[in-house]
Amino acid sequence: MKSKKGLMFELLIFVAIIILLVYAFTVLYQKHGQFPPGYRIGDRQFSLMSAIQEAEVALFYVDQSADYMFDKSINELAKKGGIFVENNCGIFNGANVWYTVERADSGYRETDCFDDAKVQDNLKEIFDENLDAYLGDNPYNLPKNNYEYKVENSQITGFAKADLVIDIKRKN
Amino acid sequence: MEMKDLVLLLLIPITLGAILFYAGNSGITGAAVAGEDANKAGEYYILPSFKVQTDYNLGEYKDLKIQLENIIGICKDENMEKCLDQEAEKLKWKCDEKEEKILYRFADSLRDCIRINGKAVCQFSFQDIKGINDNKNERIFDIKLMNSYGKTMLEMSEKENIIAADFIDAKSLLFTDYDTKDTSKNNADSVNIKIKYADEKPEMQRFFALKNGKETRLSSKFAYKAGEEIKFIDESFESSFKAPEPANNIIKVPTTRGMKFCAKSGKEVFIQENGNLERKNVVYKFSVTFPKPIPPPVENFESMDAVNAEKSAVFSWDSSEAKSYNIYYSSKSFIDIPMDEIKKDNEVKKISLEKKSAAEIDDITLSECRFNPYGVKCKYSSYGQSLEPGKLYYWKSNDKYIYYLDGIEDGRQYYAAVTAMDEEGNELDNDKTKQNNKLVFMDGKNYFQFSSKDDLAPMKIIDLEANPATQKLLWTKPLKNADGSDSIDISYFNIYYKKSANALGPNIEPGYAAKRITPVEANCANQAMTCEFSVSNIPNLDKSIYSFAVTALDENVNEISEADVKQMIIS
Repeated sequence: MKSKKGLMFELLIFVAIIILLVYAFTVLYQKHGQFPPGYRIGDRQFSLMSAIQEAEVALFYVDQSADYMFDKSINELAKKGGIFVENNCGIFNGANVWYTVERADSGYRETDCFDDAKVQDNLKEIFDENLDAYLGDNPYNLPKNNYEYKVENSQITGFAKADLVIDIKRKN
Repeated sequence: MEMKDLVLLLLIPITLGAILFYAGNSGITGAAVAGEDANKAGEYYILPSFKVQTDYNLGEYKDLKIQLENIIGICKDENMEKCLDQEAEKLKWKCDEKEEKILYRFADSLRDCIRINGKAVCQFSFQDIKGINDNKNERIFDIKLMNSYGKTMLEMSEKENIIAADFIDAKSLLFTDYDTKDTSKNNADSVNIKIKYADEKPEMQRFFALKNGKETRLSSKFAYKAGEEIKFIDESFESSFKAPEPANNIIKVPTTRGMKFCAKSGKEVFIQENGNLERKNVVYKFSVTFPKPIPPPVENFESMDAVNAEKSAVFSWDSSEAKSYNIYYSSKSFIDIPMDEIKKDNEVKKISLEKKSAAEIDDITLSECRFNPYGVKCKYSSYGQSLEPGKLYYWKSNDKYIYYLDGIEDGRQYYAAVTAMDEEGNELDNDKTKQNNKLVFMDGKNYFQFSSKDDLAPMKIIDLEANPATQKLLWTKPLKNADGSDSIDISYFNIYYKKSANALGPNIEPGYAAKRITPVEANCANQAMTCEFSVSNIPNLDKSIYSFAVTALDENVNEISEADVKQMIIS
């Protein structure tokens, strides 16, 4: 046999649910006739869900593109010897010059042409160029020149400057 | 209500609050905004930021650089190129590139051509590239040059698969004929090369410029460098560009020596090439070049006023390893101005002199120059000839070069410097901001102050007459200087006289007295050609036979040493 206190709790819950349902019915009743023909309750929410889904696909596209382009940029930068813009020492046999070594009064004198402290910045530059080119014909209208980068040892983070905007379409 | 029920009841709002709090701080970046547009219910905004994680370490660059620095240090006491090659072998840094070399060498050739100072015909070649078709009978490569963002991109492909690409600093693709090679601007949309390698030998199949669909065949051996540009050469004019100096300064390119390294990383990446996604090892490619030393400053440069001449100076300096010399001079000092600015400064004049065009002199005494005969330039002792302005001389016995500069102003302070230049037109940069830079102008070494002094006397008077009847001396005012140049500054005459029947001149016989008179006193100040002087104006002459000689002097009282003598009885 239920206790008196248990009955009180159930009653309290029952009353609360009744109040909620009555309130919901009232709200819906008031909205009746205000929607265009063919509109069904929840259409807008479904449209929003679709837009969110589309955005998620676009974000996945960006993630994957960044992944490919990071690999490509690492490879290209390595081929360029870590140098993005040709320096005064130039290029020899397709490779950027790290040192020039010339005969001097006593033996040889070398000139350092490669600042390895700039590699991170150079990677950002080459990555930005590659990503922008890759996203150039994307199907999601992703904004161009839209990133600021932070490179840490083993990761690159692209901070978007502008939002990706996706239309929430009307069903009717 | 028991305590546990109260707790249960309180848990409901706490849970709801926690859910709301989580929703508000979950990192959700999207936001939906309702709109009033007929076609859309609103817009959904989201920042498409991303994060890519990899196991790649950028610190590898620093490690490689330290390794390279170390091996350069090791090789400093040896044959640098050979030693670096051996060290690269040990470090497994040798590059396994074959066909790419065709493009890279061509690009290096064009790059070196662009770097040449002045005008030159660059001779490039596709020969001597080994290992291209050791596995196949023949291979055909296409190289295309196109303008790309203010540079020229070179792309090499084989059967439409891109093998290599490179860039050169050429803003436009140009080609030229011979006659207008310095001014013509024939633009091309692209330059296309088709080259076949069979038995390791290249065979040029096509080399042409394309402009609006029209093809112009180009030389596959030469390019022309003028100003800041290089131009390919219309094939129909190739033979003119082949003509040796002085018509063309032909330089074989590439001129830069160097060594390329390919250091493999342990990291693999996915790369899409020619439509395939492949896993590839990251390979660091970098190089070391061995530039030819720029010719050092010239030694023992001297400048002096040209003897018995006006508006001219003579420079001399020690011979050195150089293809040519440049003389720079100006009335303003340029000792601290970098060379690239000097070249743009119109106030600093430049004279370029090719060593091989120098006239050879066995010996010369630059401080002695005599007129023999009068009316032509003086002749230098030991050499027996005059020095022509604008010409370079090689002074064999002293292993020096001499240059005679004219056209400057007498009495004005000038500054001059001489630089040695190599085949590619490299000379000292005079960049004094570089530490320990020895390629600079140093006062008294390769840089001098000088001035020209007018020490050219008017011509000898050759028609002196002594008229006993009128007791006058008559002569024609000289219109020329001793070297035959026009004289416009005759300011005095010296009348030499001596009681003597001897016909020896005052330069030979001592004891002559002299009276200096002006052209006004000789009645030939203006246009009058005949001058006269009454000897009665000379005080205290005895009634006896006197010898007379007359010389002309310019405003600097330059006077030749010789004079004809005439006798006259003073009455």
